[in-house]
Amino acid sequence: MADKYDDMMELIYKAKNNSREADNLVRLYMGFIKAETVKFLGREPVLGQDDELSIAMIAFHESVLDYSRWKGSFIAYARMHIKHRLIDYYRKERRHRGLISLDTESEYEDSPSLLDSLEEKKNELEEFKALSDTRAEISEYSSQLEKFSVDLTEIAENTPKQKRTLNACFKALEYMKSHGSLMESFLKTKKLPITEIAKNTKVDKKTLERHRKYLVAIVLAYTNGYDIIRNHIKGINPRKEGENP
Amino acid sequence: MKYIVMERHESYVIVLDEEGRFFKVANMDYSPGQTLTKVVPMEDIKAKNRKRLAFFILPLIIALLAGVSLWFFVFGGNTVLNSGTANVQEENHIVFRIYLGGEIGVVCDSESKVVRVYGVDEKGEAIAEGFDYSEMSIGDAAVELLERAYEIGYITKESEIFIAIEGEEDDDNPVLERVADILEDYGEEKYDIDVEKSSWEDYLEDMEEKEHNQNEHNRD
Repeated sequence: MADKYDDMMELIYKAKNNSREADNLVRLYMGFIKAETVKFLGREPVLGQDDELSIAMIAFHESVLDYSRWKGSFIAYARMHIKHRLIDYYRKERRHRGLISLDTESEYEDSPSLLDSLEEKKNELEEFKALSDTRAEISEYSSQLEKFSVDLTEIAENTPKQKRTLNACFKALEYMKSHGSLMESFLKTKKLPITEIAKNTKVDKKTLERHRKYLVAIVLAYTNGYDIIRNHIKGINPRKEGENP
Repeated sequence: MKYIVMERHESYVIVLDEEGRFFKVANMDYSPGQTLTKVVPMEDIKAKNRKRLAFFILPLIIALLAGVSLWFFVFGGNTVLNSGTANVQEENHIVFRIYLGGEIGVVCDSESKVVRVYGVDEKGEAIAEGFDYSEMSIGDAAVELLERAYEIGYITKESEIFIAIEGEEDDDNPVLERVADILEDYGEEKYDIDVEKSSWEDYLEDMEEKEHNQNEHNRD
């Protein structure tokens, strides 16, 4: 019994700092996650159709990250967090239920949906090609990031939350972009010239060091070959600092 | 706002938004390359824990400390007073160090009320001179001191100011964050001043660097 408990604790603590271990743990506890979703929905959830199952999965992962031994049994803790997250999601979704979806079917047979009547039918082949191109670019980008010893999970955790800090990182990016030789050296040495950037942009060196992984990602996106990613980034909107998406 | 799915994991996907932020959102059976318009972000556990500390645990610790000090004065007063009460009182205090062109120390009690303000260097002494901090919270005092430093001309628009708590190992102490936020909201809005909060160690390094730069400048 104690061994089983220790094994579980080991898995949880490993998953806290390792995204692959976390994925394994979610897979291992999928039965439990589904059971909690069934309790909430009152029926079997369908993967890919019921958002509730996805919410329960991310809630389970959040429980892993937030759990510590003094909080008692992990299962009871995760169960409570999943329930709260599902209730919260349900409440938020309910607010939008009065809105009509653009996908709503017309009441007349053979008539197009609202979306179809607003937009021309898209060329499926073109869409498929665009998706394939984006996938290829992302795959190439991820493998390049690996060469810089960073992965996307780490980058997401290292992304600035405050607008001011994000602005500072973009200032550093602008400096790198306007100095081709620095970009070349960055690709060659896999190192950011933090001291030089800080000195010339008046951005605090510690701020840059704290967000080094994010800076690597964003500077790399502005080297050759990542047009789709670059075109997607439109810059910072002047919205309230710290505002969440 | 549009988001591109960059990487898929079991429970979450990493997305990139149009402002250049990467973050984790719930995986609603998404695949890399997909463009999304609505996402459910994953909770920021670290930020949540910091808030939890600030709102629940910190007041509890403060109340406990207040209780302990009360106990010392009511029951163990005489014996303890004779063997160094000053130290007992000092332990309940937080000492902020703020660099506003000059360095200032601000001592606060457990309720964040200012009990002493002093200049660490010459410029700091000039800023702190005659400053009436009675009944002032640390946030209000910090803003007042910033105004004084600006009036004297020790800081100008777009200056950078530094703040730390003496002996604090991390820069995410909730009390420090709260004061830095107050200074930042005020300073950034009014004078476009940057506020840099840091651990005590980093703060000392910054001050050393500042001193070094000043010496170099004077030598030139």
